[in-house]
Amino acid sequence: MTKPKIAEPKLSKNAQDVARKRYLRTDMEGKTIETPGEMLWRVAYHMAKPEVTWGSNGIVMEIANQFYERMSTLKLVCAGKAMFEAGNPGGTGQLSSCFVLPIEDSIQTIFKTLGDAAVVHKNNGGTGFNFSKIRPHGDKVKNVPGAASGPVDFLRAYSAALSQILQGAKRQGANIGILNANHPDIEEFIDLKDTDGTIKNFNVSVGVTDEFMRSVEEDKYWNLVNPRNHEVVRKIKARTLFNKIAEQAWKSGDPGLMFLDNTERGNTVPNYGKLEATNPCGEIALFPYESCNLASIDLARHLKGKKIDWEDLKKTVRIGVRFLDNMIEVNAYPVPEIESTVKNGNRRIGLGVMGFAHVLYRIGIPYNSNEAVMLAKELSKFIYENAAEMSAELAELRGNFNNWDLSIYPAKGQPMRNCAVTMIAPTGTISILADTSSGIEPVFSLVTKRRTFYEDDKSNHSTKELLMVDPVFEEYIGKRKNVLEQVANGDYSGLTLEERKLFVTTHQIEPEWHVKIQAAWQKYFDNSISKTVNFGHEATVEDVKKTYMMAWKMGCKGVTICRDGSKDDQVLSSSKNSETETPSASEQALARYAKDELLNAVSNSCPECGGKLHKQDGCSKCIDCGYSVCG
Amino acid sequence: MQKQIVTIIKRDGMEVEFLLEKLAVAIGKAGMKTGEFEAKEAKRLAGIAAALIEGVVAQVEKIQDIVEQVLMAAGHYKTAKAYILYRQARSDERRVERIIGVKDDLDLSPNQLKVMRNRYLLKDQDGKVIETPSGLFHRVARVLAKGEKKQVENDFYEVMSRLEFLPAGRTLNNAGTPQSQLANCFVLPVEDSMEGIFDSVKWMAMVQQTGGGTGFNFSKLRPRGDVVTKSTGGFATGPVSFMKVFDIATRQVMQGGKKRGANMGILNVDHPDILDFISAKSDKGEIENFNISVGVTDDFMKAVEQDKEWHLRNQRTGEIVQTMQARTLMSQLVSMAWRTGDPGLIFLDPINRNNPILEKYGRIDATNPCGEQQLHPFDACNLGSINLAKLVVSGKVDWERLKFVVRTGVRMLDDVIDACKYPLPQITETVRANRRIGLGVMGWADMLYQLRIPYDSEEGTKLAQKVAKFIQVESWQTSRELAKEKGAFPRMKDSSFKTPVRNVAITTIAPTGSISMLADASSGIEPVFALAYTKNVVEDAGLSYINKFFAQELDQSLWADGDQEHKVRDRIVREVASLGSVASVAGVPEEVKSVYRTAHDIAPEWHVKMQAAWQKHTDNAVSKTINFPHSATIDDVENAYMMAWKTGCKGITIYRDGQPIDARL
Repeated sequence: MTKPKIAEPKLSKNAQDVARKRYLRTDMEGKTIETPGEMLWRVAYHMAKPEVTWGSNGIVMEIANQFYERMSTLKLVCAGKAMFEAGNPGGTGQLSSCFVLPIEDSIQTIFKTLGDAAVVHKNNGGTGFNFSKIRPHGDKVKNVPGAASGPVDFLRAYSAALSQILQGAKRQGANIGILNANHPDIEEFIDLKDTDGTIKNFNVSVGVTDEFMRSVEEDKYWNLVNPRNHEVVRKIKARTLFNKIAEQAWKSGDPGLMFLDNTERGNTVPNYGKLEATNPCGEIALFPYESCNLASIDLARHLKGKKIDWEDLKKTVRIGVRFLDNMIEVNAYPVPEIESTVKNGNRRIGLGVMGFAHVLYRIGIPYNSNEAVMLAKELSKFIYENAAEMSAELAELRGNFNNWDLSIYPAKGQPMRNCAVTMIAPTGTISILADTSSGIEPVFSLVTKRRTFYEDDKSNHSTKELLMVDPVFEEYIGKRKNVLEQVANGDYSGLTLEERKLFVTTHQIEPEWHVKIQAAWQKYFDNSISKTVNFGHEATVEDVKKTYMMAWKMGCKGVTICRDGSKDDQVLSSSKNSETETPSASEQALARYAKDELLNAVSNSCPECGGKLHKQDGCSKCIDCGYSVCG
Repeated sequence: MQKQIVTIIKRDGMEVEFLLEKLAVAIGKAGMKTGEFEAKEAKRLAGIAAALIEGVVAQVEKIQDIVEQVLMAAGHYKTAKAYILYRQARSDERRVERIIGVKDDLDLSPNQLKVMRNRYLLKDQDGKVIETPSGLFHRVARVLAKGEKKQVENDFYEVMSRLEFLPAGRTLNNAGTPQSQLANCFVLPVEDSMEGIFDSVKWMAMVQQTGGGTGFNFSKLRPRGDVVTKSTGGFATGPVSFMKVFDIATRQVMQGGKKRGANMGILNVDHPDILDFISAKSDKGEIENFNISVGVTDDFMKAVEQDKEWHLRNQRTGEIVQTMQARTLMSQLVSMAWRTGDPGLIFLDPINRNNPILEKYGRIDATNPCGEQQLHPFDACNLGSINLAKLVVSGKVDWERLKFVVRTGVRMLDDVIDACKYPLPQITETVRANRRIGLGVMGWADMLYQLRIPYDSEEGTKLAQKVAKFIQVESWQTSRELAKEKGAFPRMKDSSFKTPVRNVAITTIAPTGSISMLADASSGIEPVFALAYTKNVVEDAGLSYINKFFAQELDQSLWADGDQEHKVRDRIVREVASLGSVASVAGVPEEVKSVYRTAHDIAPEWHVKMQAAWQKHTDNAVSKTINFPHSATIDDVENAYMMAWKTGCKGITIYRDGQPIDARL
């Protein structure tokens, strides 16, 4: 077979914009030098290259064509970063966006990991960390009591350090910091983003165990334990802590929750290690030094009339798994430890879906219904089983993943090429490319304004708004254009009751249905499910707590909530949102002045005794206590 | 007849048996000191005293009161007075020891004891002091002299306990403890890659965790806005942005330490980001854990002199990015230094003219945080200082003793290299290969006071050269002998040395910080900063400090006597305490004023001349601050910078009165 004649994918106007801004190659002047079809072929061909290792002559072109067929029909869309980077001579070759890195309780590893994170960020990636191994703030260091910087201090340092540098990166990298609920510094951690407005490049999440959740239910005391020596430092009512988490999440969306035991139950390589952290892009649980190669199936393009085209879906799943396993081979890894964990370790892949809400619209099932939950389970089971089967087939030819011995598969007698295969990853931008609903999320709004980030603006501010009418809705409405106008203004009177029930959007759906759908997909998927549980602005802290409890009981691995209007920098915002206020220049000047005054007051005094510092030898010292900077 | 005393209650409440013989011995000692009586009379007096004590139990204070009365009644007035004074002094000492919590077995002043306690003496887990000052020096001598002859250990102890030589605080603190990182200064490489940069951050954190200060030359980093990968849109954020990362990391590490982090950041004068760098510290709090210095070449300084153009080059490509007048750059630099004290200058060419391993290991382009120790990447240096204040005998330099102290000091610092556990394997390797040590001095101003030589005089700078040369000659002689005894430094074969030596470099003038307080000596080669001042620590409320040499001067001088009503001495002390200097105090002879100079009485050019004088015979650089009055102009600062270069200094750091101290560490 030869290179196919490039069949250009049919892209909407928005999709073309997104492709041009994000995925298409440009020359040094920023001029686009390929079409979307050429881009997809570049990716398809690049991903097919490793086939030569196992296949015969001509296999590369054959598989490339298979990939290309699925991609150009937008049935399978790979992660955005991979679309830009794969086979792009001007790229970094790093196809994965998000990583988990280890944090140990030593200065050396803390700073080594900071360096690894900087390399990941330089290549436009994001990083997740669990800080729980770090001894608490004020613990002793080498018998010096009260000396230790705690996890929150290091998180601050990470945040500040990683925000300073933009070495070739297009924008600030995303981060997530996790602290387990039994860490003595947990309260400070929960309040962190509320008390320190400078931490913008980190989301935070609290790791909780079943025991913690049960203690909340039974109103028990909860032990805070020093990770250094496992001594109980303090006891606190579990509910007090739980309330604090929920209140902060209610206020700002942060922290999220990570259910450590639910996650661990889904760990397919339990003898390799524990899953204690997530990446920042969708909070997918990964091992330290792990990342995930991602692609998503657009479910809405697997319909035959009002029915799922199961045969076609199976084909896409099988091609998707092959695509992702190949991607592991061609990926460039930012640090060697990641390469050995991903490529030569677990070969975790994340085949996911998008367009679920659109499928529901087209089939005629409301998102907030038991039928939707049933369909989610049916789909997830089907996709998982076929993906696992494909991975097993690949294993027969290509070999099991290296850590297979440490996994759950030997007991089942199941060969596996990948330690886990399915996942719902966030599909933000690629769902725009496919012009479909995002992940398993409901449609956010039938008429949406979306801000997008453009790299040509160095200040990283959003510069453009794309006005979008949901395409399925638009198609359904047909000529009743006046209805669109009305809906844009929040007036649904032009729709029948039935129509209103079907075309529900995010904020019309009660949080428990969000959780039920998440749990339904999680039931069969082996990796985590990335999903946000949305609340109306009027939701209470109690509502948040109820959702947490429910998510835990239903086996979710984590839960991220978002209350309308609680996050300033929400990527999505309904059109009614007003602009955020910025302090005036004079207010800023005043604040700066006050800070300077404060610094001035302390800068000439000894940091130890408050005495006056004297300066000699290019060095200053305190004549009162003998403090000296130099010796 | 009433009952005889049988029990004494001591100050700490303990009860002990009263022994007549013991009392007799105590009284006898007092009598012997004054020469008024001997043992027999003492025994008689003790008997009388014992008889006068009422009751069978008595407080020790009560007994001493009675002894005083008995001595006076017996006509031994001198002894009585001495006894009273002795009791007074002992009571003061007990009070000090009680406050400070240190047993004074080396006859130190309360100030010295406090520094000892705060900084150096070993403490247990609860922070209780568990060694005495002499115990400290014994510990250090024992650890450092491990593998040497017993006499060496004795010599080490002798020079330290007499405060003639002290190794750096880190060595005093950590020798013989599990935390055996004894070196002060480190330089680490920074390479132009994300991996390289963050390796350096990590290394820095590890070094600083053990208390070391670190220096970096950031010039290899590509400039801001330069291309990073071929992909479009990505650009480099430049050295200054990365210095902020280093700063943040230091702040975290130092939260766990006793000190603020000390970093030296250097950028060469031809780096395209030099203007950003120069003003990097102009905002308060920015990179506060850094001193910054511009690395300048002779070419640059000549271009300034001759008002020529100067090129800024991208090191990665060699391209000229910008061309400007050298003077424009210099004046920017100087005006920032005038405002904030930063940046200083480091003269790269003089440094490398004196680099014995230049050919094989390349140019040195960075120094430690205080600037005196220029080092190759991964090299480190341990420091120690000779206390010149102790080496004056009857108005003359005690050259013989100085020779002994130099030789002992060199051997001790050389031993520190082997006793030290370094935080990184690369450092261990480099240090053991170079065996660089930093033998310096302190108490120079005190020496000049005793010799009655003004700091700002030709005589002063001449003596500086003479002393520096003497120390240098003796120390290299010692190094040659050590090479015979223990072997030359491993990189000797790659060096420009003709005869085997033990160390690649020896002498330096380092800041002496707390150890000069421990030695009660003036700092480094700096002038005394104030002859008298009032301290503001609660426990010493109202107590004023007065320089001991100036105090002696006042005590011995007729002009300071006055009479009962007019206490001239008190007035002078009061005025000096408020002014810091004696220069404008009435009633003090001009000759005295010229000898007792303080930092601000001395014109900047004399500061530079003194620095240059010491530099002339010092292997490494000289750490010194050139003090300017607040009224100094930008031109004054520029003149000092030019003068420093012309007189052969290796760097310059200035401080203008009224700048926030933190502007420079």
